[in-house]
Amino acid sequence: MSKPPDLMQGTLDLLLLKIIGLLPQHGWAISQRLKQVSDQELQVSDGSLYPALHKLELAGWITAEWKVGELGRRAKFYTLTRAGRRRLDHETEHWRRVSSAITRVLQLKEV
Amino acid sequence: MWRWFYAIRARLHALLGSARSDRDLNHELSFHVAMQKYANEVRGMSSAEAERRARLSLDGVQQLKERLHEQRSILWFDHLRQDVTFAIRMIFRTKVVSLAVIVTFALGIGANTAIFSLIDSVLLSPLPYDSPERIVTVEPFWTNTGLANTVSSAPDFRDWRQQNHVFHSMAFHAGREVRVVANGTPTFASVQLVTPDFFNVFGVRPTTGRLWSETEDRTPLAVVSHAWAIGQFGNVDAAIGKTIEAVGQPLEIVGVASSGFAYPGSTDIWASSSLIPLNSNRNGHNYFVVGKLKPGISLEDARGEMRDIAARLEKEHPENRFKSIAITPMRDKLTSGAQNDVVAVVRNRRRRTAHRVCQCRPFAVGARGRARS
Repeated sequence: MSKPPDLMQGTLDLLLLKIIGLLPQHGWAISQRLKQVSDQELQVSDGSLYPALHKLELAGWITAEWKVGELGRRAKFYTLTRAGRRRLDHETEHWRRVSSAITRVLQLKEV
Repeated sequence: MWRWFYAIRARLHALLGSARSDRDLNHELSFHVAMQKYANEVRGMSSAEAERRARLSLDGVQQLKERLHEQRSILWFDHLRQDVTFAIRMIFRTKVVSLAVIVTFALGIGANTAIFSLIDSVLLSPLPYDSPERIVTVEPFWTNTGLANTVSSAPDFRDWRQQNHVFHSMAFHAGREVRVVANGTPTFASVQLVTPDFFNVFGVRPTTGRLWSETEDRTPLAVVSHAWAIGQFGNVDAAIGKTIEAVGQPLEIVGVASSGFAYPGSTDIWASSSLIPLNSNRNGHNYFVVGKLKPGISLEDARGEMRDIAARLEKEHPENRFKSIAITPMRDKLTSGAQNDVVAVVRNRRRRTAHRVCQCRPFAVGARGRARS
């Protein structure tokens, strides 16, 4: 496999909620954090990051605020809303259930 | 529910503040490029290369902007659909609350419509009578207390009518809902006992038949309203000559009033006041007096002469001590009645003073009657 598989539909949202939930930050920082923690395994292009962030914002899971960031420039900082926090918990739980179910299936051995 | 606050704020921002949200988008992306360029430079790239790579990392800044624009409009419709679905689901989930809200809105809108219809029909449209500006109410007024009454005594009325030179015609009416037998069927109808000049005050002409004259004042004759005649007999001509029983006696219908005339309020039947004994006590205030001024007589002229008559009566009759006369254009009277109604609707409070109740009732009824027609 030359290229890591694309992220499952909806998974990027979960990752973004998680990262923003840890610390309110701007788009570039989110992208760096994503690359860093996933060890380059998850290929999220910066080009798909912003559409995903805007979608979450319009849905009300996250909200944005303009603050002065690095280089002394104005940057758009994203924060989790309370509903976003609940959504994150819910999605995390869902992910756990699904992934452990998949793992169980993959662990089946021939008899 | 805070989610909706943030969601709606963000959506409105995207929808309404289009120019601003474009500027925000430019800021956001150029910040990203600047940061990435800086990071690339730290890794040892040349400034130009660092910038090129930074732009490339976003899959092209211009292309990304277009994608975001497109997504925004698609999401807008998508959200609208979701919101409508959500709203409908919530309405059915919280039936009681939704019903309460819907009923509240319905009542609110209904009350507004009712008030405005009332104001429109009473305040804005002219009175549907002949020379309405000359029609006035004539009422007793006590100089010691400053209070007026809407009803007068029969002897006072007789004196006022006989002694004045300013009125073209003056009449009284008194009545209420009573049992009426028409076509052999008993019903309730609003009956007013009136003096012969009553129709002259309003310039009412019969649609069909005739009105009774002064010489027939003691004959049991009746004039009925257009609407009532049609309701009871099918058409106005069929009403003529019919005998109905009202106020304890048989009355022959000789005329049907012109369409739309139902003063006071929504009167169905007018009968001669001479058919019943009148209260001859000067303290028995029971009769609503209306009059039409002679052409060219001003309100002030009329008030002056009526004050003189009242002063004379005061001397002649001890019961009339402090009793003067108030003359009010009917238009103002109806208007103040409507205002009282509106105030009553808004405040939902009963009027306290007995005198005030007296003053408002007949005219409020008149106003409602007009609003209905």
